[in-house]
Amino acid sequence: MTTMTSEHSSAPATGIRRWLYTTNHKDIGSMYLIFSLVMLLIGGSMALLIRSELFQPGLQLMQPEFFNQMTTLHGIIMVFGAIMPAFVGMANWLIPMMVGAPDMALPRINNWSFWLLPFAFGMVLSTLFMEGGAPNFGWTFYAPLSTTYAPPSVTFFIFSVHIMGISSVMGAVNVIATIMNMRAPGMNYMKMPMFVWTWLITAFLLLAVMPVLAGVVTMMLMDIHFATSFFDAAGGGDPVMFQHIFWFFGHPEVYIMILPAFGIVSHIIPTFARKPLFGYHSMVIATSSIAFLSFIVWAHHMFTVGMPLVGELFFMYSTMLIAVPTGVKVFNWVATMFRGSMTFETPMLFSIAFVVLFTIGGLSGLMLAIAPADFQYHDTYFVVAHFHYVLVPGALFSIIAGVYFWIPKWTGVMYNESMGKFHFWLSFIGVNLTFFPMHFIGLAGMPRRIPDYALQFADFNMVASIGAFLFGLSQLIFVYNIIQCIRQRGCPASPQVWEGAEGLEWTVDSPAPYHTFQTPPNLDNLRSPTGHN
Amino acid sequence: MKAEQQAQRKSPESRLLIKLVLFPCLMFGFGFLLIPLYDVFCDITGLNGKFDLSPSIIDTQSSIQSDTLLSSQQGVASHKVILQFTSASDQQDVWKFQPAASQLEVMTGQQYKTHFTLHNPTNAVMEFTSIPSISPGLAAEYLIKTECFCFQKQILQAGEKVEMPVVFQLRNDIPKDYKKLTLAYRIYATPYRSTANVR
Repeated sequence: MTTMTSEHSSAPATGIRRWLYTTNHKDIGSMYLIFSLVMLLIGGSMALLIRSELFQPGLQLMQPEFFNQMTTLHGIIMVFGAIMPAFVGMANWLIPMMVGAPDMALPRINNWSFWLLPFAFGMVLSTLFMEGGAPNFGWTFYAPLSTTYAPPSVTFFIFSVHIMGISSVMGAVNVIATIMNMRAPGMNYMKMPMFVWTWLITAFLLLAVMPVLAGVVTMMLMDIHFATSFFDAAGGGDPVMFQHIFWFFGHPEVYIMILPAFGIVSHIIPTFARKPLFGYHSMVIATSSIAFLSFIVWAHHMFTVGMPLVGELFFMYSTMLIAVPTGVKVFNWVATMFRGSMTFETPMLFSIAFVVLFTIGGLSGLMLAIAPADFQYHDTYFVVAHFHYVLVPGALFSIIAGVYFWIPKWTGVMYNESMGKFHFWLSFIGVNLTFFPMHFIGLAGMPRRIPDYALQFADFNMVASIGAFLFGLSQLIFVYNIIQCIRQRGCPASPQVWEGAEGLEWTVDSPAPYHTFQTPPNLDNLRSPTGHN
Repeated sequence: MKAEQQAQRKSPESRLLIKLVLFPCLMFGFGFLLIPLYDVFCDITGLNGKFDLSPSIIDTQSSIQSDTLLSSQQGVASHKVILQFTSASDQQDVWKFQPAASQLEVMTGQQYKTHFTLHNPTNAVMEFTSIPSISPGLAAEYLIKTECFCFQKQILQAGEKVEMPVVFQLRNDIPKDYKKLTLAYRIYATPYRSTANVR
């Protein structure tokens, strides 16, 4: 198909140079996805270390200092190393193909924003071997824990956050430039696939808040090394200020990690229900409203710092308001499935689990949003249960679903379906076994971020640890399945792959040729996401 | 001609790109701007238990008069409030810092004087900054301090012990719900003198 020789080299370079110098969106997408898989396994091993220590009360395996380093690195690596790059990788692979563009708008910046990441995370991981140990102040790095009382390695942590931030901002610029300028003729905004829509909004969130994160770590850097007092009360600063600035970044950040997931699920459910997505327009509006609301709710993470009543009420109500657009989305997914002719291949199983379990996570979020109740839940395992429910069976399940859904397109080979199903059921049971008991121990008062706990929490912690190992080890099936696809072991996939699949990416061969849509595709025969022509 | 066309064709994309690059730069600045914004916000609303660190220049006599005037208008008379004094410290503090009285019964609209003692047991000169805080925070606006050691830095010679006065009054219009207030001070040795060798 792609035997045309133009002035651009059309075939990939060979060896390591292909990966170092590549400006091809598919190569860069693959590198992002593999990078995030590696980070998932590293961050996951840290989670398993944490869970092994918590298997029984008392200190068995590690000292509290090392435990704190593990919780910090687990959080940082999973948020910035696993979930976010996985979504950027999918954006690279899919957005140009979905909008009918030949590549991303800024291919060299694309290459650079990927290659910054291994260095950033190399730096973070190297702190483990430094004197004083790795950062130990939690992934939220509240000052003064992260300034006055931080280990010396905090400076490396700050610079790596800077690098991650630059990488994310460049990725976001690229996504916006691609979507705004490179859509095929005839693809107007209300005909864009949902994944493209959710990523467009996510990219704007990234542009708005990653620089604020860079600002807050710069202030930390200045407090530590240049004798300023942004967060030091001794010099007239305010530690609570740190929390305000951090969560001004942090709350939109949690939507950065979930909006692309909404997009992926909005592709998979219609495919396997063999019906167009219910309520496409309301999906777009709901996504935009969630993005807007995410900027005015940050202080619900800090109800207990001593806010005035008016503040607590404002942040409580604005937070609860987010449940409305989110509810619209869940309703639409369920309505898409309603009376559809559904089949339950692995991507669909993960997507249905996403809808159910993400809703559970959303409901515990509503409980946490109630300011007076939050005083009881704050900093307990209930919070841990809540955000793991929205991030693991939420964001991560959607990524896994997306990989199973599109890997035939990426590699040209069907994954092993029975292994996929086995992976699903083990993951589903493992996730619930791990995180559901955390609701109970949290409500009973077990604080988070502790290596040892009171005896009455022992049973549920043991259950959670067993679940964590079940979940963690079952991911090896996933890794094996992916490797088999990359090694071309399996049945070749047809261009459309799935019976109900619709969209431009399914009109090209499987595997997708190295260059696609060098001439813009004709959209006349393509059904728009609303189901009309 | 062709280049001109190309430039024309390119310009909307490059304009978008410029916007996309400028926006994060502005947001980076906005992160820093949040700090003065919060300060202004807390000043206006009186949140955070912070109050003006400059002395209130009120002539005592006239202020009392105006307060009585105010109270007669609103039917609020002078009433009794308990004011507690605390000094927060942590284990690393080498100095001793204590209030002379742990609490006072205060009539609103009248001026009182109390003091805190500060002792520098080391054999070096030390410079101190004190940060006051009132709880409940919303009551901060009703406490008027005419003299306070927190208005300026205190420099103590080696082994020196000082009594540092606070002169204050509570406004008459303080809501009666506030029966007990706490005035807390946290004292810090200014970084470049004493903590220079710690860092």
